[in-house]
Amino acid sequence: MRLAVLSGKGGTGKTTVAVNLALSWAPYRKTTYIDYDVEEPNGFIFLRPQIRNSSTVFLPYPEINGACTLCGKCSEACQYHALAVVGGQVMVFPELCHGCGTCGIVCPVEAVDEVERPLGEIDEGERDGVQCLQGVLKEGESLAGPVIRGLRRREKERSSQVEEVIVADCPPGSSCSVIHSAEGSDLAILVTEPTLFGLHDLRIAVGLMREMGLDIGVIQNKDDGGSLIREYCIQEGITLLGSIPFDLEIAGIYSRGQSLTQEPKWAELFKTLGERIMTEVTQRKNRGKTA
Amino acid sequence: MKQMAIISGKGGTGKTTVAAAFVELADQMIVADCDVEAPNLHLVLDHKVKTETEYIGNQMARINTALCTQCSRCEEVCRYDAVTQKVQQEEGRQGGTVFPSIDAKRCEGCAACVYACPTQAIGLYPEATGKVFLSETNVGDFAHAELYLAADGSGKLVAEVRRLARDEARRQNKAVLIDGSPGIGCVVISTITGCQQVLVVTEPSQSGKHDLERVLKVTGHFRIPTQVVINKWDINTEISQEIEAVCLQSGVSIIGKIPFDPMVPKAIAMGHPITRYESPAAGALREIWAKISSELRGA
Repeated sequence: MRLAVLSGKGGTGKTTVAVNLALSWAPYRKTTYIDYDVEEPNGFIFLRPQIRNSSTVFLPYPEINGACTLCGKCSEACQYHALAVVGGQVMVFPELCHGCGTCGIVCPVEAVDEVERPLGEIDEGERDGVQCLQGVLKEGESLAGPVIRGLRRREKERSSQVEEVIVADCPPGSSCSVIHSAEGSDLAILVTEPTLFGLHDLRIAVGLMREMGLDIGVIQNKDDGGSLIREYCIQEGITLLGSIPFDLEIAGIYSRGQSLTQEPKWAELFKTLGERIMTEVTQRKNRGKTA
Repeated sequence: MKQMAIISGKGGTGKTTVAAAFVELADQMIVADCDVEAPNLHLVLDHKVKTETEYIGNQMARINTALCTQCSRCEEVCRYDAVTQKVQQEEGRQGGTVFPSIDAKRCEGCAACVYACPTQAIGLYPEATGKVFLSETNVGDFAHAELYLAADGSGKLVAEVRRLARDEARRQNKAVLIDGSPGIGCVVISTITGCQQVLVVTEPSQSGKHDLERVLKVTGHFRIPTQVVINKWDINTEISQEIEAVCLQSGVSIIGKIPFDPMVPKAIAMGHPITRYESPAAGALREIWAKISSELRGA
């Protein structure tokens, strides 16, 4: 079972929900938490896993060898302006290169060699029975996509026959990064907050998930007892999976980088929420089968 | 012409709250909302759209099956797994032929398949990725955008919003204030490059601090002068101190601290910038703006 946790707006509580759900499922089933917010991954701050393995994500870029005739075909074909023929040589701008390999395809004399540069890292570890993975984009690099794809590949490689829950903590926004992190999930859990900003961006996230054909459910964080999000969910026919109250104690625990499940009161809340999500996904699957 | 961007690393720290307050306090500014994936500034700025333009920000490969020989060379060269198989029915025949097909959500428009195809069956076609708006408000012009659902290329859309704002700023001899997005990747880099000043809004939490450290490395990498605002600083004074230490170490100054203030969400709920009210956060923001505006006019 794969669950994507996302939000549209940043800072609504994606990581809080993803981490605490994972911790509350871990005693009962095989659970893996994966931080796909590679630009600003925060899950490991709360999970503090023992890191077992780190690997580097590389992106290929061209290096021009002596066979080059300066014909300029590579520079013409490159859609990212990462190559230019200047003053009797081909200049390569690695930071503009997307690593697509087009220059090598068009070169008539095999003058394009590929070298690699590090773009980010993938870390793996474990904490309290939760398998933990994260992708980390190197500061100053712009392409999150290859790190997310690398992480996705790692997720597939390590998946076994054993039934497990994968919690994918997705990036904010509504870009390709969100799509690539969320696709293929059994449920998209949209975490929102009861503000005009939260609702506005929730609408965008709902639109995106519907476009992708994913099932959705909403969790309202910082619930102030108001009806803004509840009414929207009813209107749109979206399941409100549960709410987390606005509470200064939660804000305090969060700010210190601790998990909420260490407090019995909040552990209970996430256990209930987790059971609700499991029931929801199972029911939807069964409905899908009979339909 | 000067440009200042407000970013945060971590989401939800209060970028838009700060930006909206500055807009209200400034009198000579063009405003740009560069958080094109989750834009919110328009919700707290009374505005009237003056111009609306569709933005062609991307290109996508498409296969002409009439020319395709199913050699699967395109599938081999695509590094984004964007080439999938699709069965195409032929009239009056049983079954169908399997043709390659481009998955729009994965195609990056790199042209590898276009050049690899031996029968020139693949072409690149322009794609509209969103709409760009120029609006008027009672405090100046406002450039913003709407990214189409599942469209690729938010970084380019950001560049287009900035171009629109810059053109207006030049014409009207004003500075540009940019409300940015969370993160540190292409969208943020596209938001800050060429700016004379970056303001990072952070919050006193371990996540806020961690993300601030990362975002400061990015502004350092691009050598953009950077200042920091700690929002809700009194929620955890210990971590606020840690943040001050981080800034000191990075040679970045803290230009102000905003206290936790229940009036802030109330103002947002009414669709108003906080500075329209007398409250602790509004007071802090006025002080911060006084410092920033003199710097923006100076240097």
